[in-house]
Amino acid sequence: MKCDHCGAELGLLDKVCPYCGSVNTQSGEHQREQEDYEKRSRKMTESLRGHIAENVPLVCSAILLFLLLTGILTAGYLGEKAYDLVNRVNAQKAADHYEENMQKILQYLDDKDYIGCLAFVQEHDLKYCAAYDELWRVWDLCGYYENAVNAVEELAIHGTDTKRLMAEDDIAFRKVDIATFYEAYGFLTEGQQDGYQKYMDGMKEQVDVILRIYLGLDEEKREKYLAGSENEQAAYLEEVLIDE
Amino acid sequence: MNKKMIFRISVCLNVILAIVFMIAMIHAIKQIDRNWENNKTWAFVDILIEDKLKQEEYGWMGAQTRPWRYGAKGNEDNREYYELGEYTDLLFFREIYQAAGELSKAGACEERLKELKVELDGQSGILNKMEQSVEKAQKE
Repeated sequence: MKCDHCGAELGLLDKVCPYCGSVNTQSGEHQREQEDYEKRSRKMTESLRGHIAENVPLVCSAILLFLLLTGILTAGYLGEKAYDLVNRVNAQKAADHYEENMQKILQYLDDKDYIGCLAFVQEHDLKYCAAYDELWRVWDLCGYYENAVNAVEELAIHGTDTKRLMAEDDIAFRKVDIATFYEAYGFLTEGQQDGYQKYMDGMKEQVDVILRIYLGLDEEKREKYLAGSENEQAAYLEEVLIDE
Repeated sequence: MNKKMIFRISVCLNVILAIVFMIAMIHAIKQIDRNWENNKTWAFVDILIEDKLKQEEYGWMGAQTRPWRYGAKGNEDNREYYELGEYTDLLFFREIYQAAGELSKAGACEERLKELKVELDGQSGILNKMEQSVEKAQKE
């Protein structure tokens, strides 16, 4: 717009002419429109802020819900896979220390410490490492050996004043470990001839000695015992182990 | 259903999910911590060992404390029980080694038995009973 007095160009909101100083009578309406616009703009901003403030807790809660669900699924997946992951890490460690571990294992076996060998294998998770697969039959038999030895020790060694309330049940339960060792020896050594055979034979020899000393089973009696039924085996053990 | 109601429901859900999340994380951490498995196996030995000693189940003590001698973590408070178990186990195996002609191993058992006898000098009554029980158990 132009100044009424000097004709200079004026801005819409100029109240006075910057050149001649006279009052701009045309700016009033524009001024009012501008103020009205600013007022509406402020109102809208406040209304928007109000809406946002009202919904923030709900939005935060929804985000938290989503995060917790994701966390639960992740934790569940980790829980399921953790065992495999740990096994894989341990298997890799076992493979990296193959020479050292094999030396120790053979030392145990040469010393006829079969339970020590098994403990070493379990402690280092060697069972899950493919590098040691050649020894799986030995370890398997070590497990049966330990069970058989424990069975005889637990059944045979007790005080004279022992009040064994469930002796028959103990015998019924533990006699299986003795028979199972011989079955395992049979199928683990069947058709196999390798450098580890002597260790498996060593385990059997030791169990034979244990049965002879603590159950009175020499070679002949042992074969008869193992060929007998479960009831016959239980009857023999009850006769030998349960005091009158 | 207004926004307040929806918000309250979502808060309740979040509390429940937070508890489930904590349980899931603890489960995952336990799975990763393999030692937890070994300690769990040992827990029943520690629970029963005192009773087994009273019941004179020396063979049980000898067999079930053996993992401790091979490195499993036990309860230090039960150390004496584990050593009593070791005593029985050594007596048990000494006879086996002697019968098998493995005299050096039998000798090693004998040495360790002497050490334990000194360490467990307050338990001489029980040690004698253990020796008698192993002697009685021999059928050969």
